[in-house]
This record gives sequence, structure tokens and C-alpha cells, in this order.
Amino acid sequence: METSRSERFDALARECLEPLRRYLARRTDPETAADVLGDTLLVAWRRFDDVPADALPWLYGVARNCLANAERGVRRRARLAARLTVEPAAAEAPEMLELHEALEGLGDTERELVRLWAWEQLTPAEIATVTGLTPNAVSIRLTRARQRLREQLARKTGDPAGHELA
Amino acid sequence: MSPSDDDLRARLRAADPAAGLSPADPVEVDRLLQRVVDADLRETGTRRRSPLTWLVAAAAVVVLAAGAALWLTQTGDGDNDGGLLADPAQSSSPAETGTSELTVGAAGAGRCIMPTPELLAGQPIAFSGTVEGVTDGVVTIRTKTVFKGEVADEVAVKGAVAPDTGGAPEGDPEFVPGQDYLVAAADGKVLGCGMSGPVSGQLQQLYQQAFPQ
Repeated sequence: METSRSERFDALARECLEPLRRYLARRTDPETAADVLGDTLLVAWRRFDDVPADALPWLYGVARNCLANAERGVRRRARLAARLTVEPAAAEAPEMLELHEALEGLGDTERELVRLWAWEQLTPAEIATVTGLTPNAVSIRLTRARQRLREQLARKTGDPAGHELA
Repeated sequence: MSPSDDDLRARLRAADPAAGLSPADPVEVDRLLQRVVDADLRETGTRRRSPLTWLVAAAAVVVLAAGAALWLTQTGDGDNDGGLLADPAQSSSPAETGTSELTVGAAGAGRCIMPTPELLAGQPIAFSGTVEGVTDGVVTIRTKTVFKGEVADEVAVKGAVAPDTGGAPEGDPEFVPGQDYLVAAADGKVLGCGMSGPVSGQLQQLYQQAFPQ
């Protein structure tokens, strides 16, 4: 019984490992990402019986909580250092820098909704699983967040693109 | 999704910070997964050796915020009340850390009403965390997410009794080291009766409904 549980966990962890690594790489520095990946898998192992059939959004939700927990510690130890290690490679291309700055202009929840939609490519129902919001609230806030992001980007480039399909 | 949404998503995807991430080294993956299972089994072994499962009866919560500890004490008619609380991670006395003290009365004992999201949302303190340990009847919880109220990174819950002493009233949660909990508190007391406990699907749903983000 125990063997079969660990075998099933092993299979799940391997299937979801790369998406989880990408999720964390998008949100924190490599060292924190590695720590939080371990935390996330430990929670998944301990709560294996609670893992739903569509495991990945649930695991993103666990990773999100573990990351928030880890960042409490990081903030306590070195606020500035933490800030400097985020946004890898953003400085390399002006286009990317612009986007990351525009994302930073959103509120925490809005930013996460946009990232889950664009980078993890989740549906509103899946984003709801990750964030604990209702699917309806996700759709409404995501629409608003996308519009705000477009406006921020338009402001940066000085063109009115953000308003064309408002 | 509108064409402008498609454009926006394409633009964001072009700036994906994980685009250049190479796959994990398979040997490292094996090691990581082994470590996860081993770490848990080690803790489970420890758990079995001593009565590390504790019930919290008439418990009180210490919330340490922004360098100042808020001391909450419990008085009243409880038969095994916690009394003064201490943060086991800090050796300084309350006077030295500038703590304040609150005294609260015991809630009506022995009666539980069905927890609802509205009831939970009305409580002043709610958070999730991992139980780090139990020392001298003080449960230390490492805070993960704060849903409501001022909650520090670490919360000490005083007044835990071993389950075999029969000292805790029914409905109070039991805290097991290493497990994640959802905890609600009011007037310095951890609220049992289905409002605090180990993370489970049902309890999580209750918290999600009470505190939509």
C-alpha cells in the first residue's frame, strides 16, 4: 500500500515537475525556486490523498502558498537583496523590461492572474483553483487586469493601442 | 478572448522569464524526490515515539507583529486555561520586548454551532500555517497565509494538553508537528468547532468562501 502510494506520488511529481519549475522561475530567484519546489513536493506527498485528478492547478496553488511563505523569510532577512534578484534577464531587452515594468504596475492579485493566464496558460476555472477565487471573479478581474496592462504598455510606448478595443 | 487579448498573451509569452530554463537534471530529480519521501518518513517516525499530538484546550494565541509582541491571556472558568503565553523562539521577557497584555473571558464551553463562511469571516484572526513543534505545551505555528488580522510569522499557541489526558473539550483542534493548519481565533482563543484544524478539502473550502482573495 505504502509502495503504491509512493509510486503514484513519484509519477505525479515527475509529470508536474517541469511546469512547477517554470512557475517558480517566473516568480522568484533560482535559489528560492529550488527551495520552494522541495517544499511544494513535500506538501504534495503529505497531502497526496487530497490531490485532485487535475493536479497541476492544485500544485500551482501549493507552490504559490509555499513561495509566499518563503518570501516572508526572505523579506525578513534581506528586503533589498530579494528585490535585486527578481526579474532575471529583464534588463537585456527593452521590450521585456517594458512588459515586466507594466506587470509590476498591477496589483499583486491582478499580476498573478495575468501571469497564470499568459505563462501557465490556465483557464479561468484552473486559475480559480490556484488562487482560491471563484471562476467568475477570475474572469472579471482578469479582463480588468488585461485592460490595465494594455493601458500601462500604451502609456510607456506613447501609442494609443491600449484603448483601441476597450 | 479578443484579438487584442491574443496579442497581449503573445507579447507576454515572448517575455516569459522561464523560456530559457533547461530541464532539470534527472539525477537531481531522483535525489529530490527521494529526499521528500525520506524527510517525511523521518518526521513520522519521530511523531510515533512520543505523544507529540496535542489538543489545544481553551487555547490562547500570541501574535507577534512588527517587532512588538501582543500578549493575549486567557482567564475565566476554563479548567485548564493557558495563562501567560510565551514565544518559545524568543528568550526576552514581555517587559523587555514591550508587549501588551489582553485579558479575555472564556467563550461558552461545550457547544458547537455549524461553521459557515459568514461566521468564519466575522472572526478577527484567521491564518494558515505549519506546526513546527510542541514544547512544554506551547504549539509553535509558522504562518503561511494571513487571511485576516495582524498575524506575525510565528504564532505560539499555549495550553496544549496531551490527547490521552482527556483534558480538552470536544471540538478543539489537535496539532501535529509537520502538518498544515487553518486557524481562526477570537479574543485570544483558537476557535475549534470546525473553524480550525488540519488543512482538508472541506476546511479549505470554508476558508476560501470566507476570505475570497
